[in-house]
Amino acid sequence: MVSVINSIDTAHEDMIHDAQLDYYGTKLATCSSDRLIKVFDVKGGQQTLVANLAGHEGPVWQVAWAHPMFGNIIASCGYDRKVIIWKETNGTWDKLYVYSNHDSSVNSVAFAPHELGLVLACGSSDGSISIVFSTGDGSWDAKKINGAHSIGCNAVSWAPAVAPNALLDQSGKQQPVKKLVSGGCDNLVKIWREEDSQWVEDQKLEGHSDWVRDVSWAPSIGLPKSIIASCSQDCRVIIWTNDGTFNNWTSKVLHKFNDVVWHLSWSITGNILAVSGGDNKVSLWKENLEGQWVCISDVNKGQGQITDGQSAISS
Amino acid sequence: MGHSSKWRQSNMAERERDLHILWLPGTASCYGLQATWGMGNQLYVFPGRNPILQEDGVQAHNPEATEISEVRWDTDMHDKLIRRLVNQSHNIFMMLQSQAADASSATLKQQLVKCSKQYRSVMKACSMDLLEASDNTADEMDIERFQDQLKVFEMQELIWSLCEILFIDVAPGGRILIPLLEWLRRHFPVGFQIFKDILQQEKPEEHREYWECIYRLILQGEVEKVRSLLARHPARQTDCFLSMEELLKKMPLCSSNYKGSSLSEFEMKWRHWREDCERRLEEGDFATNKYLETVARILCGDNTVFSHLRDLCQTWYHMLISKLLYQNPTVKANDLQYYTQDCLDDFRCDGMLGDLDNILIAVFEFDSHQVLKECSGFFTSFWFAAHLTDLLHHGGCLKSHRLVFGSDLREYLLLDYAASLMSHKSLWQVGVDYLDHCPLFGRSYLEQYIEHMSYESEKKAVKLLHICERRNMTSQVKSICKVMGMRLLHNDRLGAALTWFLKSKDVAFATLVAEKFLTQYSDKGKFDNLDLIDNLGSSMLLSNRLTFLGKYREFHKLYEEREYHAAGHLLFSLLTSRLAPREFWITLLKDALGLLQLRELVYGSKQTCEMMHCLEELTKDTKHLEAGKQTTDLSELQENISLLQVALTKNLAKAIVTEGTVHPS
Repeated sequence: MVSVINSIDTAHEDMIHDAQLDYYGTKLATCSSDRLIKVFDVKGGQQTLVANLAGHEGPVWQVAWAHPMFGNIIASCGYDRKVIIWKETNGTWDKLYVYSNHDSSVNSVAFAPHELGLVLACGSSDGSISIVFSTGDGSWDAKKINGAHSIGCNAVSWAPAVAPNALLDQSGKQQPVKKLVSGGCDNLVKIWREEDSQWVEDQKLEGHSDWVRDVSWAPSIGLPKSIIASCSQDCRVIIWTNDGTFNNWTSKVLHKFNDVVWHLSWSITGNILAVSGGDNKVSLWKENLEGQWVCISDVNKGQGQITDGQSAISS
Repeated sequence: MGHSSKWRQSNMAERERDLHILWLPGTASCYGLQATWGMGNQLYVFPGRNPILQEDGVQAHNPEATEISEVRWDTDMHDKLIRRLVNQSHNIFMMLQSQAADASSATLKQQLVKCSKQYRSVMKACSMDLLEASDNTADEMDIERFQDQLKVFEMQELIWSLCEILFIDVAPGGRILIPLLEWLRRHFPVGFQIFKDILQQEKPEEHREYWECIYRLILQGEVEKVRSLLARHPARQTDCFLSMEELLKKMPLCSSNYKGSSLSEFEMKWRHWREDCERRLEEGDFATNKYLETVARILCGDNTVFSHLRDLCQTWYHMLISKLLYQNPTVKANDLQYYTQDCLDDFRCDGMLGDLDNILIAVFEFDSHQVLKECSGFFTSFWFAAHLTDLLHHGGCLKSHRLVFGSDLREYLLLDYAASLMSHKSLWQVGVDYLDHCPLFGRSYLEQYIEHMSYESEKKAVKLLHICERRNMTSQVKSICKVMGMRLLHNDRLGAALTWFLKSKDVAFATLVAEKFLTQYSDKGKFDNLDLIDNLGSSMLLSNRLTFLGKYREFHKLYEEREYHAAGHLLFSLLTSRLAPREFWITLLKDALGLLQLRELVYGSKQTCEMMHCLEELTKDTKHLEAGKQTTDLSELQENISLLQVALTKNLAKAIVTEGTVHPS
């Protein structure tokens, strides 16, 4: 049974583009075309607006939370080509750093696993990906992957820091994995890795026939395999898997939808994938007992005729 | 395989859990919907979409749709009344796991039976609570909800107890019908209720349902009750009544009586009795009373009479047991499936079978996987399927059938059940124990959940820390300690922060805090959190800086206690072992000043020389002295250095003299 527990009126004055919960699910950051970022306290069923972050000069596309060990830190990116890093100190949010080294709209921001330090990846419509990082003494530095995706990069997502085969190999300390995946207007999904402090292309995954809108690397759940999900303008979601031994990625089409798929996200344990898109639906997908990806639930936006929206309807 | 299963498959495709569709309130947005994950089974859903690229050519403006909905699923277990089920079944589950690990197979069987019964009694207790709650409320919505939940519990008890009879508490060969009859009586109590009602009447035979009640009871093998009803009939002395009484009295009872005798003995008695029944029926013993004739035909196992009394059986599985009682009372458990089809045919109106029917058919077919799969699809919560699966798993009733992605059915369901608890503010602790018993994925699931568990309070952080420590989750321990330590550090609570870093043996941050302590001392000339530093013990060895901090504090204590020689020696070793950070040397030397100015000699000539050496090294390498210092500070520093130079020279002279006196060369 799926049901609506609460609703939050964000009072944004324009379309919301992203909403992200902090690491502990107690704070929700939203961003909108109204150029604002809002932070809500969502603990225990209460929703209180705790901050309004103004600083972008255009629509804000995405927000991301850093690991709490760095404090309360949010990164945001937008149409104004900027990436802003915000930090909360004693209840007030301030700009910590502004990165403005992109030539076009910045579409995606993602913080790296905390094992890698305070590191951020940004994907932009100028086709490049920036890796922005704190040097530890309060200043910031960046590396850039130019021409990562021709026409534009739409999404970035980091690999889990713990290697998928780490459970088998318990000898000594493991170097954390430093990889990320990106998707772009060249219809490609690309995996990048850092080698001798330079970012190089690790893999190029071909499978989509139109712009890739979102990519998401699944959390590592103890299996010796890596899983990436990608979705595209071609209405398909592809699950890419790698068994960890070779750079051999196999693809499986999860489903072909009726409309563009905008967004993907994995549950905390990586066993359920939420898929959402232009068809006004959020569907949840899970690998069933036979290893097939099946839809377990659907959340639909009402079409007007259904007024009793608080009750679940089983098909 | 019985023919019933073929029929079922032809009627029903392999089915997954029903798809739940939730409609969100409000009007449709033409921009799509997005979702972000919360903890466990929780999503935040909002209209909107990701970046609009120039090429998209969409003008974004839809100020009405800015609401975010928090959506949850599998929350059945969060209900206050159901929580008792969660907690009590958790105890049974944990007990079973430890017993399964230790017990031999013989004792394990007994334990399984015990656990199975305990699970059922918890379900029963929960039903009672629901019933009470339903009686005590006037809210129609609530009543409906409670009644729905009650129905679910009744079905679960029905399935569970049938599984218990066929899989767990298996009666010896040929005697399966005894527990099945008990099962039947428990779940179809109508006959017994009417029976009680009739007994209260002055003229029982005039009760509207007198004969119907007799049929119902005889269909459940309640011979004694039937006899007592017949004995109350005014015509009890007539031939037909007497003949029936004789038959019923002689019926080889399917109860305790035949437990003593062997199966073949029973079968022989039964055959004789059946022949007697048939003979009396043929000879027209009951021709004068059509009701008794019907009873006699039941005793003879006549197929048509069962079809006739279909409505009194209510369901095909009642009819199955009733028929078997009179047609084949020593049926083997494995053969039950061959008898289901006829009964299903009698009840098939529209050709469709319900979920419950399919589950029961699968139980009669001993297809445990199918039972569990159907159950996990049918019931909205994972509680039932997960616990039943675990029980059957320990009973060896599940083939160790590996699923495509590695785990087995038991783990798959336990993970789902645990997931449904993780988003609850207190039940997550129960979820942790279930994850512990998922050998393949449990640990990594727990690691992920722990990483996302909020701990505003120190108490909760400590609780989480213990959970991680017990399971040797070093990375999570480190992460929790770091988050807690950093929070305290930001609030300038150095001592408390250090405690957390020490817990996770975090060298880098322990060093950082030790440095902050030292800076604080340099600035204020005193230490806060003396207790903590005094009691560092061996944990001070974690980092050099921390060791120095601890030792330096020890020096102060010795000095205060006027143990000047010991203090002086310690200070000297801190300085010369290079344990002290360079920028702290001047502070140490200033401390030495006090010792040098004492009447008694603390430092010998050799030591004094070495200290002079340190001072010289320091004055040469001025960057350690001048860093961040004001000019006024610098002049003060210069003054200190000169003071030291003088004091050391004087001490050296004194030492040479003293040494020369004690040991003349």
